[in-house]
Amino acid sequence: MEKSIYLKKFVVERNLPGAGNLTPEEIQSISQTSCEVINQLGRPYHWVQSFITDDKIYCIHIAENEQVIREHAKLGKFPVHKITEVKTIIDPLSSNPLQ
Amino acid sequence: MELIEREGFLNILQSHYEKIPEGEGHCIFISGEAGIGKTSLVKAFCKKVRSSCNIYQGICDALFAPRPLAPLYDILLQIKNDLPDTNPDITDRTAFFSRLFYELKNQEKVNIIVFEDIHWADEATLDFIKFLARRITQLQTLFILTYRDNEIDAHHPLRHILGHLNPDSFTRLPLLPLSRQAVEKMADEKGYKGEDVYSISGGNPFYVNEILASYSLGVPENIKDAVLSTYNRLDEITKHIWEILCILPTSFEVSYLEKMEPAYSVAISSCLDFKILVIDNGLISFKHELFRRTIELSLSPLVRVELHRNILNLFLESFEKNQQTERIIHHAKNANEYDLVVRYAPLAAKQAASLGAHIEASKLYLSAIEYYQGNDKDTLIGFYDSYAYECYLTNQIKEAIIYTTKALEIRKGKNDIESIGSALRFLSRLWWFDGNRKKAEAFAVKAIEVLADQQSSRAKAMAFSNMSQLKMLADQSDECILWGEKAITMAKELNDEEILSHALNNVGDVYMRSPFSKQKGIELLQQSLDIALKNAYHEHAARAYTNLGSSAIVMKDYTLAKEILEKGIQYCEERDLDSWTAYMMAEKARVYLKTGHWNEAYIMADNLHRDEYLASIVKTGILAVMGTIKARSGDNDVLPMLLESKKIALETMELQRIIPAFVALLEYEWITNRFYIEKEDIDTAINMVKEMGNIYENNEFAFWLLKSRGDRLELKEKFAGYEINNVNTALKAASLWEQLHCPYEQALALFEGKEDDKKIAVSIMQKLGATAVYEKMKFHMRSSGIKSIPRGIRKSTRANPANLTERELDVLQLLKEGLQNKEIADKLFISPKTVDHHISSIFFKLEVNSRAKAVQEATRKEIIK
Repeated sequence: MEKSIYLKKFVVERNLPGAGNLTPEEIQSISQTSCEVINQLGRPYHWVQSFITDDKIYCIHIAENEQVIREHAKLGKFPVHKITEVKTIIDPLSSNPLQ
Repeated sequence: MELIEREGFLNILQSHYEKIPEGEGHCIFISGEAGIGKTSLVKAFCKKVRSSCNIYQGICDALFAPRPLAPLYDILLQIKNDLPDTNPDITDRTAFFSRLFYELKNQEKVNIIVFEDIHWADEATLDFIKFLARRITQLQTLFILTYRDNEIDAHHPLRHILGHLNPDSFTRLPLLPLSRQAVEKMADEKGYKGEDVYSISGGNPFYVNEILASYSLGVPENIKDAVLSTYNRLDEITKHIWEILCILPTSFEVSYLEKMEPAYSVAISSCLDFKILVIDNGLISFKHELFRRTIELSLSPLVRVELHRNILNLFLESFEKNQQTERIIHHAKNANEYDLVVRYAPLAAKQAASLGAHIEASKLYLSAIEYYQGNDKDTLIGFYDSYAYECYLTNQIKEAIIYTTKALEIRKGKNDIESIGSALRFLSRLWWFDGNRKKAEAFAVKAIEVLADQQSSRAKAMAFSNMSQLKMLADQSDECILWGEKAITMAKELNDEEILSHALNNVGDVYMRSPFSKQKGIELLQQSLDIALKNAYHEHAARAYTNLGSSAIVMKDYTLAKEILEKGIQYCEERDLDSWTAYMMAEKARVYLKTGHWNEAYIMADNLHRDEYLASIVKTGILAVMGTIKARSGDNDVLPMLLESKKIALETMELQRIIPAFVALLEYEWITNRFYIEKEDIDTAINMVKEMGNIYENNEFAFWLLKSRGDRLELKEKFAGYEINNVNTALKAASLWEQLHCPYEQALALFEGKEDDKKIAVSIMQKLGATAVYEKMKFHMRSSGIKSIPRGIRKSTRANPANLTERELDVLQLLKEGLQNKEIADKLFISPKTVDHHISSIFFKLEVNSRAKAVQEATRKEIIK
């Protein structure tokens, strides 16, 4: 009987001075690399979205734990500065009283 | 390129330079934003005087952690062409500084030393700047330093240095942007619209030149466009060279550039002609930082990473030969090479720490921690410990606590008892520094408990000594001696001189504060001091001086206190141990207060008080000194000062700080006939006095408690100086105070005597300038029917209501004539420092804070004509 795997959501901070200057071609190639690595990992892994700012990229990933995220970064040669688990997600709808 | 609107600045440099052969060296701090023309000004000045002096130049780099003392090696190489060991240990650093000092002293010509961009300087270099700037008047040297004032925040160590230098020894030269007229004139000559050029550049000379260099047609939207349009027109090879150079925070060796781009020299020849790039001493760089930064900001991050990696490989290839550790780390970080950062950062940190660049060392250890991807326990412990220790040395106490705790958690898993004990003891010390006595005690106890079943060891001896120190600081004498003796025995058994010095210090201090064992205490403290001096344990020596001085004050042996404190202050000043210097200066101010030299006391305390970095344990004491003097003189705004002193003292939970603060407040209550201390606070102090403390301070507290509030506190041991409730004991007390050279207390005691004694008492108060107390006593005497109360004021001072001395009047007169300190000194045949003291004293007596106001006030009071 196999144990079920629980996944968590993480914010991954990557320091990349000048990230705001990434050209569309470079962004395409980074995204391709990321997807290829996910296929190689052999673990459940979802790359949700990434936010590029001037000197930093914030990525939302879903995985079992920090180690897998570090593994993904290592294979893809992506920098990792900080990994934090997301505890709760809220949005404007959170202000509605519970039905 | 000619300098525009820099004539005035050049003249200032020139006039200081011309004064040097007559005797005194001088420092000049040139500040302003990037592009304002600091380097151009210095270059132009050096070119002018080159033939008549030696010029030495040191440069600070913007590396992540700059190479410690890099500018010193630069200038030493220029002076001697021989380098000292690149690995002098920390005790040699002072020798290294001194050596450079004597090299400069022995030069026949005048020296000019230029340190550029000191906002990037490492901590050890900043220490050297402080070292040299403090001694600059002994050298025929002009020390020119440049920095960007917009890149140093309020807590940058450079501000601290500027705040600590003698104002006569340095000049600040903040450069101004070019005026609108100048920019318009330059623009007109090139056929541009002056108004546009001025509004885009804001008068920054670099921007003005870039716009006018006709890189693009017409005035660009902004400077960036002007620079980038030039860059975009370049051929591929030159572009590549620009890219390499723009990601380097330092200049680049031409030899390295050749490896990366063999055809470099042809490619860049036009850039050199245009002065966009410059080659100097085999190093190539952009002429201007802003040019470099503009290109760098336009590069894609992936291109940057690639470039950093290529440069990194160059340094790695030649590492064995050149050991460019700091540069490797800088580029490894930027190339995302985590393993390399982790490998090299600790090496660089060790080296930085050994040179006293502890801030850089802490940054480097933190990098190793952040970049380490593994989870090997020993590696982590090593990094955490080293980082915590460097944080402790650089006053990042919270951070030190966090990482010592992290390391402790790992250690608990390994069950290494001795190192667990050490870590607990270190946490105790850290919490004490952070002002949390409860936690400090708790960890001290834990450390001893953990080590209880262990053999004798350094960790165990140090745990005992640490506990002894905490007890000493809290005036718990018996416990201090108990733990201290254990530590001494074990240190002797282990032959460990450092712990022995530490422990003797604690125990000696406690013995010295009791009348029955004073001599023994002095001997033990002297032993501790001798061991520390012999082994160059600077901190232990500083602590021994401090404790000897403070205890002598407690014992009311003011002659000994003054002698010890003067030695200690000199020892600490020579070694830049500023926090200890400040502590002892505050103690010296207290000696002056107690012995009736209130002017000196106030000036000294006031000078310390201006330092925003002053430790709170020092601050509480000097506030009490200043408040006491002001209160006795009848000043009105004393209360905030005294309340702040009390608040800080209570936070320390140490009786040695609490008593002086409370005594000052109780005395003020007595002078003004009002209560200011809440009952709860008074009870806290009373309970502590019942539990601990020493005979002298406790009796002083009880004395004022009775005098101000009529509350009697029965103490086991009495001190005769405060027994003044009948005529006989009062006169005995008065003569005791006279022997101790304490005129104020002597007068208080005399006042309890007969009518003639009372008259002597009021004249003493009058002489001291204790106007408020004098009035109080006079009122008391009148109401008990005593006539003919001595006025005590001499005729000459009546015309001089502020009580200025003859000398002060002379100085004031010369101030009125508009003379500078040095001119006044020459006229009166005294040193400029003494003039300084007189002026501070004049300010204090006239209650003003500037020369102009002093003259105004003195004229208004008709003290001078």
